[in-house]
Order: sequence, then C-alpha cells, then structure tokens
Amino acid sequence: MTYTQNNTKEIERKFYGHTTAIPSRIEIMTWFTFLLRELARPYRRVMHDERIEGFRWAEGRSVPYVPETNTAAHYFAGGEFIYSDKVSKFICECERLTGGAVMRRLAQRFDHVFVDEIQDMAGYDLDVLELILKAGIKLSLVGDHRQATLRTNYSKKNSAYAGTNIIKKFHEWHNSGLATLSYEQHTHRCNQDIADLGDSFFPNEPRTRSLNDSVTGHDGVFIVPPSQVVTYVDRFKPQVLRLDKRTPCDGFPAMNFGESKGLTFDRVLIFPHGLGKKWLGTGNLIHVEKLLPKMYVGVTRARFSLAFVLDGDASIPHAQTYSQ
Amino acid sequence: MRRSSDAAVPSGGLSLTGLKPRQNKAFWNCQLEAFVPLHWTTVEPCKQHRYGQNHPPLIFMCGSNRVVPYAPKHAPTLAWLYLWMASAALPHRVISLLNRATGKERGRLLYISRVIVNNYRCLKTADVELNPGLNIIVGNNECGKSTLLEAIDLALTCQLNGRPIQTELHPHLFNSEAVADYINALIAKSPIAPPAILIELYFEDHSALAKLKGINNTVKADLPGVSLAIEFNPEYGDELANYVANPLLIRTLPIEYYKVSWRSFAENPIATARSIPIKPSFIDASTIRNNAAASRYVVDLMKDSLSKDQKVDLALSYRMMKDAFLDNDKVRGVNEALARKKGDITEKSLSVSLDTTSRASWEVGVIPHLDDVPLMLVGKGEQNSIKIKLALESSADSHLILIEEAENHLSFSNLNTLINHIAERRGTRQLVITTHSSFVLNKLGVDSVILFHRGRAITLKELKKDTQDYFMRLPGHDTLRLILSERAILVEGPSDELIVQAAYRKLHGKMPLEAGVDVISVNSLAFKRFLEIAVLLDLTVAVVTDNDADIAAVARKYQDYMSKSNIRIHYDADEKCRTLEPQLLKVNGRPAIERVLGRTFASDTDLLDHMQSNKADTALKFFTTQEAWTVPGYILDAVG
Repeated sequence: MTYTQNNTKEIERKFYGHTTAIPSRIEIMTWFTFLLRELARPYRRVMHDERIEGFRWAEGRSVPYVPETNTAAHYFAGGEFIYSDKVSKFICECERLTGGAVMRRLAQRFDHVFVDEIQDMAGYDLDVLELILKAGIKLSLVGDHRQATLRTNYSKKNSAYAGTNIIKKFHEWHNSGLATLSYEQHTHRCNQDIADLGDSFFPNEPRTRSLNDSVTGHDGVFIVPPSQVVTYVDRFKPQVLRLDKRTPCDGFPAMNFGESKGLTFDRVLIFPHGLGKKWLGTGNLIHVEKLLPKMYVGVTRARFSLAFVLDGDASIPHAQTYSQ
Repeated sequence: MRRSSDAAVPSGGLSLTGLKPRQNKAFWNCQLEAFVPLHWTTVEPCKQHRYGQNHPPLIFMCGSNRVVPYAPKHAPTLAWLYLWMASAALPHRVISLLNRATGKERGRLLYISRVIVNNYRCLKTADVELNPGLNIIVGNNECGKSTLLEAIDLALTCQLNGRPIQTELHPHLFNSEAVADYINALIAKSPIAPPAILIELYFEDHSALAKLKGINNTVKADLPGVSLAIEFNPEYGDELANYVANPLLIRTLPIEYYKVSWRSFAENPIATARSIPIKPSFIDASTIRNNAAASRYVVDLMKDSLSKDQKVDLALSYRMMKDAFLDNDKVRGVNEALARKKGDITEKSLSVSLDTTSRASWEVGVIPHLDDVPLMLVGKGEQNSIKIKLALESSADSHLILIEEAENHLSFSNLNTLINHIAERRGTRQLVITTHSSFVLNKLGVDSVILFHRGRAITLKELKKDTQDYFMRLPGHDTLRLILSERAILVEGPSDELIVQAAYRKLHGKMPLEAGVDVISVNSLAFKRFLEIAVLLDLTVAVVTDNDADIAAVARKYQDYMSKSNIRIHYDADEKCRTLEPQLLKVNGRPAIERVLGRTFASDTDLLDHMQSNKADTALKFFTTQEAWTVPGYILDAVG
C-alpha cells in the first residue's frame, strides 16, 4: 500500500507489467483504505457506537480544542466520518481497549505487509506501524525520506519525526532490534553529477552512487543564460520544471516539483524561484532549507542533463555554463 | 526495511499440538495429495522431486535452500511428512506454511457456527448454533426450518430465488408480528423504530476468513462473519412520516424506503458472494419454481463440479458452434436473401446470427439431460436427487450444502438410496438438512439433530447429561413425535394410552392424531426427560399420571413444571385410587364396567383384580366398546 491513489495505480501497473492478472492473494490499497477497512472498522465499537462511513479530510489539525474524553466529537464529524488525521490514533486506542485484537486480526489477515513511499507517513501512523512490528507481522517499508513532500496528516504527535526526520524513527527501530534498516545507495536514473547535486541537499546522508554511465554529449549540470533558453529548449527538448505555478517559465509548458515525484525525464530544465536563484548563486542551503524535499525531487528527475535558467554564475557542484 | 524474524530458526522444530492422531489410512493419503498443489504455489525457491509417474510432484524446501529429498521407494504418507517436519530445524516461515498446508489450519474447516435471524419471515428471532459437519433440523410444519435455510443462503449470496435481493424486496419478507407491533405502536401514538431484518452468520475463526473478522455483530463476538440487514433508509424520513400519517390505513411496510446492507463483521461492504469463501448449494426440493429456473439451477450446480479447463472447453466449443452456424451454407443463403430486402424493412442491412452477447454464454444454451431426457421433463423426485448429488460432487473444499426436505417427491426406496448417498459423500463438508422424516433422522444420526421450534433451537447437547444419554439410546422416533406434535399428552403405559385416546374421541369426535395431538406412552421415570425438551422448545404438553397413593410425592416430582403455562400435570387427588383401574371403577361403578367388559364379577375386588392383571385387554375393551362409560375427571381435563 501507499499514500496516494496515483501511486497505488502505479503499483498495479507494475504488477500488470509482470503478469496478466494480480493474484487474488495480493491486495493493493491506499494507506487510508487499509487504515479504515482493516484496522479501524472491525473493532470500532469499543470506541464508538456508529459505523465509520468514511473520512472527513483534515487539512491541518481537526477540531484541536475538543478533548479526547469527548470521543464522538474528537474523532468524528457528524458521528460517522472520522477525521483523517485521527484515524491512526483511533486505531491505537482500539488496539489498547481490545487487548490486542486489532493486530491479532491483522496477523491472520496478511502474511506480509508492504508500504511504499513510507516517508509520507506521519503522526500516529508511526505508532500504528510500530504496533504492526511489535505484533510480529512481517512488514517491509520502502521510501526515501529526502522526498518527503507529502504528509498523510499534520498531527502534533510524533512531530519530531515529521518529514525528512522520519529517518530518526527508523534508526530507533533499528537500534532497538524491532526492524533492520538498510540503505539503497545507488540510482539507476541520474548520472553521477546530477546525483551529487541531489545529495548536496542532505550533506549528512550517505552518498548516492550512479549506475547510469551513458554518455550523450550533453551530460551533467548546466546553467543556461535567459537569452539562450529558446535555443536550448529547441535543441534538447527538456521537460520544464518549477517549484510551483507562481514561478514564471517564459510560457513553456511546465510541471511542479511535487507533481514530478516518481517520474523520469531524459533532460530537465528548471526555472528557479527567487530563493532558488539565491541558492544557485551562493551554494548556501539556508535559502532553500524549508523546501529541501521538493528541491531534491526536482533536481533528481533527469537521466542525462539538468539545466537551470540563471543570469550570472552559479556556485553549485559540477555546474557548467551552457553556450552554443 | 525488513523484519529480522525471517531468519530466526526455532530450536524445537515443529510443534505437533492440535493434530489429532487419526488411524484412518485414507486420511493420510488424501491429505497429502491435497497438500501438494497448495504447497507448490505458496513456496518460492524450491526443487521438485518426482517419485513416480502416477503421483503429483512433491516439493520440499527449507529457508536455507537445503532441499530434503524424498525417498522414492516408499509411498508419501503424511506421517512421514510430520516426522520430517518435526525433526528438521526449519525456519518459522516454512513451518507456518507447512502447518497451514497439512496441520491445524488445513484440518480445520470453514463452517458456519451460529446463525442469528431477526424479523425474517416467520422467524421473529432465531439463534441457532450449528455443528461443523452434519446438522439435521427437525421441527413442526411452519416452524421456520425452511426459512432458516433460506436466510443462510440469502446472507451468503445476497440473493433470493436466484435474483439480487434488492430486486426481490417485498413487504412479506418482514415478520408479520413485528410489522403488527410497529403499526400498533403507531396507532397507540408511542411510535417505535420501523422493523428491520437482520441475518448474521458467524463463522469458525480461521485465517482464511480473517477479512470478515470483527466484533460488529449482535453478540459482540470477535469472529469472522457476515451480516445482511434490510432496514429503513433514514434519508426517506419525511416520506415515511407521510406514509404512516394515518396508521389505521397501513397494512404493510413501505419497502421502497428500505435499503439492503451486506457487510462483514469488520463492517466493510461485501462486493460479491466471491468475497465469502464459504459457498452454499441450496437445494430446495419443496418448491421447484419453474422449469427454466430449475434447469439453470442445475447448470450452476454442475458448473461447480467441473474443473476450470472443462469449463473453458465448454465455453469454447459453444462459441465455435455458434461460428459454425454462421458459416453454414444455408444460413449464409438466408442472410443473403435478407440483405436484399434492405430498404423494405429498414435502411440498415438485416441478418440473423446467434446471440453473442455476454448473457448468451453456454450456461444459458446448455440444458442438462438425464438418459437423453431434458432435465425439466424428468420427474421432480429425480430432479431433486440429481441436484443433491451434484451438490455433493462439487469440488470446492469449503462448501456448505443446504437441503430442504430431502424426502419430498421421493419414494421410500429412492429416499433410502439418496440418504445413503448423502451419508457417504458428504465428506467433511457442512450440511444442513431439514426433514419431517424420522427415517432420514435415524439414518443420518440422531446426535446431529437440531430441534427447532418458533426460532428456538436446541441440540441434545443442551439437555442434562443423563437426559442426553437417554435420548441418544432411544430410537429417534419418540423424540421426533414429541417435537413434531402440536400438542402432546404423555401417559404412563399402553393401557393409559388407549384410555386417553378413547377419552379424546368421546369428547372431540375424532382421534387425537387427526387433530395433531400425539398421545405418547412413556416410562414413568422418563416423564421429566420429555418435559425438559418441552420446556426448552416451549411445547404444549399434558401429563397424565397415577398418583401412586402419594400425592405429595407426585407434587414434588413435578414441582419444577407446575408453574409452566405450556405444561399441565393431571392426576387424581384421591390416594385410595392409586392407578388407572381403580379410577375407572370409582367413576363408573361395577355394573357399567361389567357391561364394557362383557362379563360379571362377584365383587369390586374381583373386578379390580381382573382389570389389573389384564390391563391391556381391559383398556382395549374400553377403546372398542359401544357401551356408555364415564371418563375419570383428571383424564377429561387432560384431553379437554
């Protein structure tokens, strides 16, 4: 399972790439479907009298001033729609009140649970994962904490492990023997120059080794002066990326960093936003420290060449100025 | 990230607890064959070992990729496999796989352990516990036996009469008593919630059913199960208010405002019947709806007994036959002729073809034949036994078979054959059968009987241990008589039975059995055992007993039953007349009895001596006589 529906579809597509039909003993679902159907509903009556019909999406924190003791209002909108940021908390409570029935059922239900894009999990989700681990159910979690651009919820719980910091939680599990943590330190996509630039956003993380050593004649990281953009695009047909729609891109069809997550392009041209330009000019991460995951996703989409539109010199590793 | 337990090797090998030792040779062999393909599909890095052409390949593997070869000289017994499992130090994962394939999980069957029904047809409430194997449901006509089977089938398939329940909703599905309660409450201006139908099936806790597990059921049990509810849809609140505005006009429920929800005990909706691994075959012999339905029904059953390949072959040949039809010269000629009529009938070109829409699959076009006679033209009894046999042949291993009154439309000898067939071929599948026939009951075993009466169901297990033993020894017949009668009169012996029968005829002008009253002669010690069943099932029972010159003792004996409204105890308070014969003498006097017996006696004592030493003969004389005689008061009370 994984957080977004798009990624769930992606997993299904991968299966169809291997076989004509998804075997009936494999079930693919979104994280929230899993929480609702397999964990929250079966034992909800120890917490709540009515069936949980579905979710009420909480953009930030739902009803922050309703205390836990008021169960119905704390967890539910209209008595039957559970707040999306509270469902994992609700599950932890069910598990506690039933003396472990939720996890006993899960252990009967699945032999092995796989979660993709694990960096999207937040708040009580981490507690649910820990319950699964402690119940002895085989659990494989896959993800890249450097790409923590999305979050399942913005609960106060476990906020010390939010976003990129989720890796700290994994280290704790690893150290206490609950799980083993292993790094995949290679990329099949980016060449070494591009991978190094991606790594530069996270100086404390292990280096990435590129397995892509193909040579096309225009490889690595480039700075394109605004005057050359039209000819550059004409010649290399790059995918244009930007932080978000507020960044002007000279009218080229562009995609936001967040949208491009999981995608691969041969060549990418980035129109940097204001602070992005400062980072390019100085090489100082302080300018983009709040956007590291998105920046990381944006710069690591290209196989062969990554170019930034910038008037002036850049102080980032391996940058070459493009000229005809 | 991966859990590390994968590689952990347990020290003690495999625990064999939960595996009951069975001596049956066939068990070992058949289990092993069943085990092989399952194992084959679940275990990945494995080597294959063939041990002869006639056997399926046997595969063993260990977590360490160490393959244990199998000695091909010996037959592959399950006993050998257990030994191997116990001696080898295998990783957890392998053990759990093997355990599941051969041991506890595999041995345990998927079955329905309990059924709860509310407000469905004649079942206002019913709560029935079922055995894993055979269940014989016995009960009076109209007691809801068939309804119970229908409810089980409905909750497993969401279909009624072979069609989706949503399209089959009608007001009479609701219990009439519940509807009347609702309408009366409206009239009394103290409204209650509109009645809802609920059918809950509780399954045995098994990992194959974990998807259906949860505590969302009436008894809050943490078990897998399904529930089907037909309840008022609150979105129609205003419409309902209008509908019931004048409760005096309402006779039925407004089912247009009702919705069907079909959910697991995990409270997730059930998409199709395929989501429930327990698949029912419902053989309803009492009502065969129509020929087309009957034939489609048999085709459905037949399909279950065909392998996947056979089904594909049938579908393919059917489609090829259709193609061949179009290629036929004569058909082509017809189509060319039709094509020339373009413009006469329509501007488009007209042709004939066979129906190739998905509805027109082979199931629709194929009709089962018996000795070349289409099934719908074969006698009903034969149709029934074919259906039952087909259901027994079907291959699914988690199969539930529901049979409604197997004895219907069958001659005694055919019934005998069929019941033998059922007993032999049932295997380990759960079978629920309703019957009126004490023959069926005795043949299949009294110990699996479930006595059913107005939604109450008891098994012999619920009776006291000694009572249970008593009925286990008794031929099924007497128990059945008590349960099936509308009203029973228990008497102490054959002479009492005759007198009570005669008394009943005198009072009502017909024999008790004609009125559904069964006079059962019971050993006086066994009265209380029968009464125990009567209390459990709420049966109307009268007891006619001697006072044996000790009124206090009789009162003591029956004190538990005196207060029950459905049980009446009749005896005479005169301790001087301790049994039937002195009672007869007391109310009739010597001359009247002499006329009945057709002879005279010197004294009352002589007469009494004669009556008591010729009890049966005396009773028969009273039963057949044309002379007038008076029935003792306590007997009259009992038959009145």
